[in-house]
Amino acid sequence: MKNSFTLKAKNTLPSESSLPPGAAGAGNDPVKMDSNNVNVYYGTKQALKDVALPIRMHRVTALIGPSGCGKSTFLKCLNRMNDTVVGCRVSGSITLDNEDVYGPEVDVVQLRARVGMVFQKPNPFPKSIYDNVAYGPRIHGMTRDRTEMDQAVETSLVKAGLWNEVKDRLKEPGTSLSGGQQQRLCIARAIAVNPEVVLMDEPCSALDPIATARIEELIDDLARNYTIVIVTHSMQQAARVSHFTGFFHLGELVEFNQTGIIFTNPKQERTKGYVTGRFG
Amino acid sequence: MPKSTHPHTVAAFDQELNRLDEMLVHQFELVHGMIHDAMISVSHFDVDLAQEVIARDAKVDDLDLVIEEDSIKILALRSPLADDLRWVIAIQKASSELERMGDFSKNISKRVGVLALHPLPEAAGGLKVMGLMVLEQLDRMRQAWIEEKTEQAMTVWQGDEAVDTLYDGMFRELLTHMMESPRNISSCIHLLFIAKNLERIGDHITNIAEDLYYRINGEKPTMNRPKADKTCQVTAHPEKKPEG
Repeated sequence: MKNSFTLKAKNTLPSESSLPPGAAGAGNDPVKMDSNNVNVYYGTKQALKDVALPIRMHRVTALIGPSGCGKSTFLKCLNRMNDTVVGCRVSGSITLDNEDVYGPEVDVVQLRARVGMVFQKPNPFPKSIYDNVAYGPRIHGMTRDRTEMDQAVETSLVKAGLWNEVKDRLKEPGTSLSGGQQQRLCIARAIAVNPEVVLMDEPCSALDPIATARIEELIDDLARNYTIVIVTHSMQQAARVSHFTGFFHLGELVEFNQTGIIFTNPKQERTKGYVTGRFG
Repeated sequence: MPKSTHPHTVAAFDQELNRLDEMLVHQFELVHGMIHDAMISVSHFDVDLAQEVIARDAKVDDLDLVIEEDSIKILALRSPLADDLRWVIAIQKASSELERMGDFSKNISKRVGVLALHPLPEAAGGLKVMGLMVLEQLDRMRQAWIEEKTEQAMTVWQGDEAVDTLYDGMFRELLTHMMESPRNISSCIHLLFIAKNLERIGDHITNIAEDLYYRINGEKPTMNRPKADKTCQVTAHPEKKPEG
């Protein structure tokens, strides 16, 4: 099953009855990250308007919407990647386990270890496969000796579904791998520091369909232990991998609901227009 | 394409959805004609017309096949979502219902030859009323489909109770004719099957009403449909009551 390209049925799906149709944010799963009244400005331009979106523990939440709608901006707020953007201002509340992510006492490096990120383009460090994965545990001082580090690297590569393909070539550069393998290496690197939440910004947009299917299978597997938020331009991908979907448009969160409802019976006209390809 | 929404960015998608709908509306008309002519052939013992109705069933079957193939193609190539998805699914289901109604009309027509041998004109009145009512139901359903009116579809849905009541009456009437004279039995049995076919056509029309309701609202109607077919309790020995 590990090497199968087929996606497993989501036996972890919340039952339809656990969420009344149309009730955004209702449900029984605990909320891992919550956000309320989130406004983001790039200089004078407002990129997000009063966004409130709960991210449920051990669930995959997909963010969809046209380019420039604010979905990546929102994703970057979750681990304060926007801090590095000049002129970016964030207001409102974003919490991780009920603690304010933007609180004055928060160590951003620690926050990003808890809320990891995988980017659109695979970006392995110009180091060996081993060192790519070992990088995080090393700088966070998570292992005591070489054996523990070997174990951590192996575990992460196994979880990322890459171990069998690279176990005999750990010393080779990460950049020698194929695009899909590089992306799984980046996922292994992200999960090597034991994050609680993994953010993925269009993780498959540079990959072919088979590599994409492998990442989607991986997302399915990872959701058992991690909370995942994925930004994707592919609505089919959002439909395939996520439990909850939020549709963004012009900086607003137009609709948030169970994925099944968003794609079969969306309540908002704008969502309907977008998912059916009638966006005017 | 749903009337209330903007056109798709890809115009060919709109054309494909519209073509599906046009075929379904055509299927409605063909089936309406089949039921109508089947009932005419029954009341006039017109064997030639009955044969013609039987031959027409192939057209309805062909349309159902084309609708199914085109729906599968749209599902595979366009990945329709939300109301587009419901549109395709609802048309495919409604087409199957119409195909079945075509079969019932054919079945009715097949009995005309035997009925002509043993005419039982006194039983024809009730059947005629039933046939007209079913045709009226189908026509209103077709109109509701074209205009995308769920209220009208729900009126049709509830209206099937009257068809059931008529069927119940036919059942008792034919039972009485059979008790009067065993010579009536073969005609009555065939007339009973015709009545049953009309009653089943009525049920399939309510399924189409549900398909339209789903297509517009994204859910099945939650109310209970009123039903009045009590024939399963009817006996030729009224002094005895069936158990259960």
